[in-house]
Amino acid sequence: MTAMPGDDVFTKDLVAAIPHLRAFARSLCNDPTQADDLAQEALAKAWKARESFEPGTSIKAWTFMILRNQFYSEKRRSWRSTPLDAEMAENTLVANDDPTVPMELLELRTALAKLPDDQREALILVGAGGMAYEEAAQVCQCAVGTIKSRVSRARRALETLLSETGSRKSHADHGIAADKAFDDILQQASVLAAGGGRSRGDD
Amino acid sequence: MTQENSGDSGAKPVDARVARRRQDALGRRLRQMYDQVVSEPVPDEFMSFLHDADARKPPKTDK
Repeated sequence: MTAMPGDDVFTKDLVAAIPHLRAFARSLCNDPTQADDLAQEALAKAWKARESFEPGTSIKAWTFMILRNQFYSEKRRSWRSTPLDAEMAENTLVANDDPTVPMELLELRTALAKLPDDQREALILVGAGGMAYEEAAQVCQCAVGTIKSRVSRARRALETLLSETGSRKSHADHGIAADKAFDDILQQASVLAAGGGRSRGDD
Repeated sequence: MTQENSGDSGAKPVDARVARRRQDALGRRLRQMYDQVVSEPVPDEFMSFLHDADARKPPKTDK
């Protein structure tokens, strides 16, 4: 009997990267099913290309790069129907009546969907995934400085977008200051996220 | 290509402390969004794939 899958270092590392692949995919596509399909395809590609992985380098960055390439090639093929489309994300937001999806999460996702692709992915990798700039640069195949500037532009843009959502909200509600509404979006979201997932003890 | 102006009356300058606090909150929120998915159990399809893939291991890489 030959080696069982999962007993070599590469396979173990690849399996360990799966939750992160799913999270990255989910941040890119808004649709969880589509995101999982994407992550599985990326996993299959990574497996097939295992010979080209350089041991000692980041398998996470390597698989993310594969997933990212996959995502953009699919997006090019069917860009009209991609749920990443900002308008569609907005419709999803408006039409949301699934109680399991917090409104604030959708607001964040909607705002993210409005960012240019390069800024969104940089922010997701560094700001959400906690990747080092160097690793993110590897994923996006660009210079470290490029990633840094994309992340900071994305942060500013997202803040503006969420402030606008906040203004609309405060207008619709009881005239709370936009500032307050903005903070509410984030704070309520934090509470909900902490309840749903596992909260980090350090912050 | 990026739209600087949102068409609104323009964002009022917020003081550095407020901006910092917002960015901190935003960062936390982004990490939570991501971590939530990371902490989900991995669907079975992902694992069965590896067995499947192992059975038809490619002879060698091309490209």
